[in-house]
Amino acid sequence: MKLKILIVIAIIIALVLALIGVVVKQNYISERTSSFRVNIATTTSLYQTGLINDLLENFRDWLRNQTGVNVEFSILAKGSGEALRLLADGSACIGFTHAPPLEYQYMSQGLIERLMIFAYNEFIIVGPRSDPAKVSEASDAVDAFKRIYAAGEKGLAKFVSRGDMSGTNVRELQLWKLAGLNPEGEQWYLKSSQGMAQTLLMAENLGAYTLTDKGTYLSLVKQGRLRDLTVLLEDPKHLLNVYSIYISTSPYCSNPEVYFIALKLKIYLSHEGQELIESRYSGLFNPVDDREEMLLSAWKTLSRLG
Amino acid sequence: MTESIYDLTLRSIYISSTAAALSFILALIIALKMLDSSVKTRSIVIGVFEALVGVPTTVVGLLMYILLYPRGPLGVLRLLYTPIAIIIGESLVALPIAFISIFRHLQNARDNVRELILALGLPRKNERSLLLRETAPVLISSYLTSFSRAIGELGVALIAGGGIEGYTNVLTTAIALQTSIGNYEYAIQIGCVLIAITMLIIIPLRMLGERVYGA
Repeated sequence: MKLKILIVIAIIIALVLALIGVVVKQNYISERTSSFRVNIATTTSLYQTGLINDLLENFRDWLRNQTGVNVEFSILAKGSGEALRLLADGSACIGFTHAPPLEYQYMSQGLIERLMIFAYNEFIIVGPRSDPAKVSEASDAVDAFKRIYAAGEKGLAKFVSRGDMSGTNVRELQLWKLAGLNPEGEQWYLKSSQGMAQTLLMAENLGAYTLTDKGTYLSLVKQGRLRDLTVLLEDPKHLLNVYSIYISTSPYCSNPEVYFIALKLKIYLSHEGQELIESRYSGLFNPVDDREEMLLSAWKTLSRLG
Repeated sequence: MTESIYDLTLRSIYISSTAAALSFILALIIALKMLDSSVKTRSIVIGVFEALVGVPTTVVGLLMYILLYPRGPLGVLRLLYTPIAIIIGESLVALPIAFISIFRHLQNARDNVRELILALGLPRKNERSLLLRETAPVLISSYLTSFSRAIGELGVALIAGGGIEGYTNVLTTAIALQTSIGNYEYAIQIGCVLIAITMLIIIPLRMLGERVYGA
């Protein structure tokens, strides 16, 4: 009697598992392995705003129409620091990042090569409406950081840092350096160790200042998630945010398929991709157009500030 | 852009039930070996597994990454960012807790089984099969423990699986990704599904198991 029930249970469990396995295998596994797959590491701001999915989907259709080649992308949404590490390891072959000093470091080690700069926007300093540090009256971003530091020391203001070596975090550290200050370990200097959106929500809840890319901030505002946090300072000179695409030089990425995809991606992003950014993401991201020289020299300056 | 909860759920169940089955079989083999070993080895092995129960899943995830990334020792297998990578990693995550739970059940039942064999005058070689038959219902609960450990872990799925939409994204990585882009509401919905699944699967099976065991 006991044994019979047991056997029945065992058979039911086995059947259910087998059924699920078959369904999943057919629907989710096999189709993936049949076409060529490229791992893409991307910074979270491009993922958050939906730009990366949009661009790659569009590119896939474009490629299929043009050449009949089918490609699948595996999108790994990480901070720029982790994304570059994945490129260096060859775990991902193509990367979208925005951290010039780190990119420069990996490039000079010969681990990655730049395909192109494909978009830019600005970082902005956001903070509570009451603005206790008077950041909105600052002359530039460096001055703003000095004001936040002074107010922080007096216990009037807080600052939330990403603290994760993402593009935004790298820029923030550059600004502290330019201001000649080191907030590390101060009570008012908090590290979120999380993505930009979570960091913004944290700043909103704490009434704190933070540095953010414009895209993530605006997409959260559009969703109605930020009530108190407002843009206090824009400074195109210090806060230019340059998005570039890199290809890994790892031997694990140096096969003809990857080069082919990278080449086509570059062609696509120089024309159709730029139009897509212009038409669907105006305000969040700017297409490069003919400002390539300017952006490249800005990138060079930024990469050596770290 | 975001995947449907249905797809996520199916993929999650498939991956974690396979991982749980792997760890269950492995743990059962080790536990049966341990029953016959000396007290000293036994206490060392149990101590090691007990210490491993609390290892952060992120550490296991990093370990899997180091093993599987292209230049790693197992890089040629090209398993990084595939469901198989998650299955292996999660079975490692669930192994210690599966072992401890299985071993405890076997040890508790063994004396009874020995008495039974003596009383019925059965040959000694029947001990193992009788032991397994006696403990089967509670062993199901050991399997479920490792299943819930596997389905609820994040570190391995995120680092070795990558959370790739339509491919390796499972419930926990979807929660992490949606949280990271500030979509807290959707993340909570997925979280509720996760809790519901573990309850729906575990409670009925445990009740069945107990009824059989108590009969």
